[in-house]
Amino acid sequence: MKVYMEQDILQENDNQADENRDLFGGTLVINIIGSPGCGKTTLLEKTIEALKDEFRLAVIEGDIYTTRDAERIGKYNVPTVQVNTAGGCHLSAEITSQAASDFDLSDIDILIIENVGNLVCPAEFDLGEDCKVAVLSVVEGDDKPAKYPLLFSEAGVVLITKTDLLPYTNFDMESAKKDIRGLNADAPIYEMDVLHEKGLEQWLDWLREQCKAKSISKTF
Amino acid sequence: MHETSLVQFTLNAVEHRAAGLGITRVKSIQLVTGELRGALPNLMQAAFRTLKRNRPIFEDAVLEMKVTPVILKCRDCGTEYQKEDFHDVRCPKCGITNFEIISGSELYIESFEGE
Repeated sequence: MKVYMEQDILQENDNQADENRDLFGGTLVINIIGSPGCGKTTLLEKTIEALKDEFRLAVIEGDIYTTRDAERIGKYNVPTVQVNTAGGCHLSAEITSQAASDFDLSDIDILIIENVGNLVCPAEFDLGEDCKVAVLSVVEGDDKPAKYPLLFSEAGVVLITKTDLLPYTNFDMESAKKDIRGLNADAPIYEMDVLHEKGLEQWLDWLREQCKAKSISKTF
Repeated sequence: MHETSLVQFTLNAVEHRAAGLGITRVKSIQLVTGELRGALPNLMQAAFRTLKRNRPIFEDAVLEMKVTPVILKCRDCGTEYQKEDFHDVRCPKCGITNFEIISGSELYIESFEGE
């Protein structure tokens, strides 16, 4: 017997992601995705430092095996759940749902998910987030948006980090931005040097705006 | 290596549908995956061989993949064009990057055969 299904392979994940969206309610949820070493955790630390007195924050830390990132975040006294994927190269909606059940979401304004360091796989899996944040450091090369188009086409915002290292690379900023624009006409692209806190303000303002928009949409 | 997850989701979905139809042995599964989705056929097959081991319904099953090429359509002039990758996605006719994806982003279970 031949059975025609015509069913999306990711349907099981997408169904759970829809449930997560209901569960998240008025909490803004962002999913940070980028290569290992692009500066996701440093971005998270600086973002928490800047916003922890303004918003109620929580963090889900995705990592293949270790708890090192959660330990780094631990010192900020922000509720944090470490998720180890035990070899898995991405978070899924199911794992996110389990991790989020540790929080009282009605007490959280922004839930930040740091995905497993990987430019390919995490982009495929909807976690129920409001927005994917693509992080690209200049040392990775300006060809990465064209080589990994899915993430950059789905991102709500693109952060180009480690701009302090530009003089030591052949990274062509205009070429990278042009490729990102070709994939995504709307996402703002912000250049920054997170470690030395340069260019962070536009990202923080963007987050403030998103949070405001989410809480308004919750009210109505 | 998201191929492992993709195969896992596929087996779950097919097993669920097969159970509802009283099918106890799946012979083959047909997937359609687009070039843009990065589901590499050899890794899909490796994941399939591993994941079907403890699931008797898939003991004799084979995985068949149809990979669709990247075809884009210019939103400005309507030209359809095929690309090997996403590196230079400008329309060959009018030179702008404003396109919709006609083919290449598929990722679905087309069908399966069983008894």
